[in-house]
Amino acid sequence: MTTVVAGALLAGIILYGVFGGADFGTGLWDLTAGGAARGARPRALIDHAIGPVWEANHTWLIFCLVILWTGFPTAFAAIMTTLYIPLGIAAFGIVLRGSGFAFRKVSMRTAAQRLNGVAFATSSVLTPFCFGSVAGGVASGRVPSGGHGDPITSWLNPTGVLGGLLAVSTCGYLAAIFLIADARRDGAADLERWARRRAVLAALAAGIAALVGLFVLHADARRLWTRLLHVGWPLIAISTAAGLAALLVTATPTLRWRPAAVRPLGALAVAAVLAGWGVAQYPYLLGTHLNLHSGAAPAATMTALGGVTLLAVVLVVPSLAWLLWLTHHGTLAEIEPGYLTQRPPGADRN
Amino acid sequence: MAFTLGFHIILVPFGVAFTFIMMIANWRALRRDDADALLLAQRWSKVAAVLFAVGAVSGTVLSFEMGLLWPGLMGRFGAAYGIPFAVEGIFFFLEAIFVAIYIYGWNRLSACVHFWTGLPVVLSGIGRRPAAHPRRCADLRQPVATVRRRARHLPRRHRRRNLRAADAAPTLGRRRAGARALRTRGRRRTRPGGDAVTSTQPTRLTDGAARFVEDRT
Repeated sequence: MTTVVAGALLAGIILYGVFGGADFGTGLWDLTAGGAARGARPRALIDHAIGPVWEANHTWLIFCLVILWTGFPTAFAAIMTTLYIPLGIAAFGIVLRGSGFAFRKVSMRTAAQRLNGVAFATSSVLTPFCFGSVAGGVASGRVPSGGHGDPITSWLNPTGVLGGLLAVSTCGYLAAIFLIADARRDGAADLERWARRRAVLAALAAGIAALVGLFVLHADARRLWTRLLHVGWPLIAISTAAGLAALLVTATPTLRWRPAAVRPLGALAVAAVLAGWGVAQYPYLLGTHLNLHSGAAPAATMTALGGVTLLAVVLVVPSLAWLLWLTHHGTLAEIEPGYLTQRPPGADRN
Repeated sequence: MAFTLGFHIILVPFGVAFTFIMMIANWRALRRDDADALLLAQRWSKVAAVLFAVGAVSGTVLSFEMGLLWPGLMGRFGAAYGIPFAVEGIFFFLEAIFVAIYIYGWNRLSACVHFWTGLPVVLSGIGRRPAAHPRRCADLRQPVATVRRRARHLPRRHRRRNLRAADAAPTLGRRRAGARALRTRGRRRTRPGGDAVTSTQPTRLTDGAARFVEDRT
């Protein structure tokens, strides 16, 4: 049952990485969309695209936290007492981001909208960086079983920084890929080109980060590197292939693929990397000093958690699938997406 | 923690009751073809969306704080504490999903389907509540001896209620005295018409209920 719960935890992390990541990434593009006039249309597209799904996307985080603290309380306490700085920043970022997004939609004046927008966008970059560096800290075995590891070098180290940069670029990549299809569905050709450019840019950034990352891991986290290349290599291969295919399709619009078909490819590329991390770490929770079975909660708790996971599969998965299906088909939206009625930037400049 | 919890807990009743009131307005709009009620339900749904978003965010922060501020507690007792939270997590998930469908589904889904997507929001709002009362959940499972022993340390009013429930337990047949102590609290064992419910089991009335019955008869 311990392995099942650990699998559920990994699945939660992968789903949070893909859905939550795409969600965070929109904040990156929101931040770089330009001034109030130029960025109005892209920002409206972002609002329109993530409005219905962002809360559900972030529920995976709570799922992961609860599974971790219930199923593996020792590891949870160790991670929390060691990596409290990035986790604290991430929690702060989540507050800023959620409130910023919610209030931006309902606030009336431009100044308030701008303030809330800045809060939403900056925290969308900061939070994934922190989560990535936490992952790096855990993956490189810098969290002692008893907790209270070094509060700074446990996350500000080569693997941690690599994790953070990889997380930010991946989030941007996922978001851009998702936005291409949204813009196409709404028939906004200029925004489709806008998102396409960003998808290619972010894909290159993530690709370079991953390549450099192999050397960083070789120098800094040898066990992870060895396990990734010896046990997890099929997943790395899948990720590379899917990422390259998605890049090729995105960069050459003449292939005339439906943009929605690129989404699974991009998501697969990211999911395979996260799964690779899980496989490389197995059977240890922290470094090589706390394995799954010695860190697990008592059997009764694990059985209950298994039941809860089953309940989640039965209740949540169909509902979530319905929500995503409705969003994908454009059924869920504000009464009328505002950016379709606005003129594209530069249209009045002949 | 106290600040976050104090902030979050204000939003919690809105998740349960406000969405329910919104559903009543929606129901009225559909049954009586009432345009005003429809407008009211639509406006309330926007308010509910913002309240839910802020509640979701502060709830996420709370689960972070459980680890950041109380790592020792979670390290030792997380395995027990976590179960109600895990169940709560499922309801939270359902609430988030159906809130989104309900709020963004106005005029997009058929009126009937749209109405029914609001129902899980209310139900999961109710389903989430036990997690806020771990102490209460624990009490339901106490055997008689424990209830009696613990009652000694309670304030007089609660001591009486618990001891009475423990006394009643053998006639109820099982050891679930704690459950009975909770159930008799505040429940008037009378029908709205005023007649005391006749039961073959000896029912123990709370003081208030007994007086209430005497007044009516």
